[in-house]
Amino acid sequence: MGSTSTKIKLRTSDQKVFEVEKAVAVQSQTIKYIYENGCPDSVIHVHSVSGDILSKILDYCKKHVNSAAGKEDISPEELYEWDANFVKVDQNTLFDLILAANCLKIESLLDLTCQTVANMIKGKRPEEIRTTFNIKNDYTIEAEEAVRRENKWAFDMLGGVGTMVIEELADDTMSKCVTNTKSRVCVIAANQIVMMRSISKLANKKSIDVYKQPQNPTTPRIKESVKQRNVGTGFIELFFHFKCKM
Amino acid sequence: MGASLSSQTEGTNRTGMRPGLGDIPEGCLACVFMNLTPPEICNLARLNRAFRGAASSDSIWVKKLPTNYQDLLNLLPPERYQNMSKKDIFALLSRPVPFDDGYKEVWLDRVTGRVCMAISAKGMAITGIDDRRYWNRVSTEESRFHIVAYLLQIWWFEVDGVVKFPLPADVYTLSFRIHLGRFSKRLGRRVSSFEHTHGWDIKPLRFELSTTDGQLASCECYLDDMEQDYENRNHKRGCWIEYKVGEFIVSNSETVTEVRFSMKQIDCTHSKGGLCVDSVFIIPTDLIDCKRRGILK
Repeated sequence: MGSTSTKIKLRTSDQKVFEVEKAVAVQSQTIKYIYENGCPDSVIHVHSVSGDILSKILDYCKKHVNSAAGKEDISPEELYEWDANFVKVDQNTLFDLILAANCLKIESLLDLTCQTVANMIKGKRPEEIRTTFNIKNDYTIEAEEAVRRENKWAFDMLGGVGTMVIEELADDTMSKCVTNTKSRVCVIAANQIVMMRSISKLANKKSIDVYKQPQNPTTPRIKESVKQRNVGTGFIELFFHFKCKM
Repeated sequence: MGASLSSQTEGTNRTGMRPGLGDIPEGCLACVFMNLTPPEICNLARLNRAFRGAASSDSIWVKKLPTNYQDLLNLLPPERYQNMSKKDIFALLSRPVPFDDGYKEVWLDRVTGRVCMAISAKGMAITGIDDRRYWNRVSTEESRFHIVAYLLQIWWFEVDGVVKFPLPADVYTLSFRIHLGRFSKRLGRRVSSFEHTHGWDIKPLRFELSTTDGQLASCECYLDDMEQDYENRNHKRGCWIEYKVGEFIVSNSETVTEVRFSMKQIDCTHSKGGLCVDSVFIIPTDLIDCKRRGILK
């Protein structure tokens, strides 16, 4: 019929029924497909989603539909803020949202939640990621070492343009890195102060500025001192996004 | 479909039936990976075996490669990249790939996957390069090409170059890497000497670039400062400086981009000298400005 207030009924895995406007519900490609290809009056089962999660998802869809249709006076920045708050949930809920968004095929929500998870991963060492997400390490020591070596190329800045990251290398390897680097800034992990002394002499000869990585990566102090040397804070951001054991 | 990584989560007392990072299907994990840079993805391979598999998947890495990565691969002999996974191809291309007889190099930036290029002084047309009264070629480790051209003295200073390459669509900055004065190692320390350095403060040096599709950029710059006192003058001398010539846009990855670039100081009323010319860099502007769209967030 095309009435703007058409409602669709959804039943969740825990037998809760939600009645929502069609425009909101069809944000989900899955629901849209079922609605358009099945009987429009019957209740659509969303087996894999619980009532709590569906409720949150419907909030999201409603907010986005209203904002796009102009029903709500909300600027793109405010919507962005709203989204950011929407994903401030505990980890379990976040993953439930990902699974549900995937199953219901709501692309923008899937992007938002996956980006959130990605942000939780960025800047962490493998051990930290394992702790954050409760992931079991099934590598033997040798296997882990082999994988580290296999992926070393991604952290090897010798040929690159930018900031060199030095963490926990053997002394001679580190000297080689400093001797060969074309970088102008070098940042060392907070727990590597001994290394810092031994390479700072070497770095001085090459006019490389050596900084100690602060405990809190967003410390403004280090950004300020780097800015003064006209290197640009982007280099520090580059460092923090793959700070990792070499 | 693909298996999920559910067998790898521990802590069942807390999570029970609730999903964790290890439980989401591969499709969703791929979506998470899309928001991570290549070094971060490699980092994830170290979590456990299942993540290693997921982090090596071709579908993730093909998105990190530039659309015309085959053009870069074509610079290498086929045996080097036959049967390689997309991840290994990325690793291969992230190291400098030489072309044009080794006078030029191209590589992918490890974090963003964008194409960067360097052109050696060896590959440029330098007026008077063969005359040893004017120019010397100096071997040095301070150049990625291991050789720089050192100018003793000349009146007509002109360095021209051209590069033809299928660059991916992007905005690129071209810059010359120059060193005022010559450098050497004495007793293990790096020493600069300016015995030949003169003439750069009289008239500016003119940098230019042009592309075959009509883009032009130029700038003029004094390499040395007469008015500044000794302290400040040192900033321009004795270190490698990359002088930005300008920017050009490549709108289409399909076409081959041809860029001509030059630096000139051809006012023959005064001589100039004491300068090392190393190379030209063509780097995506975003990488230099440190405004990496969407990658760092």
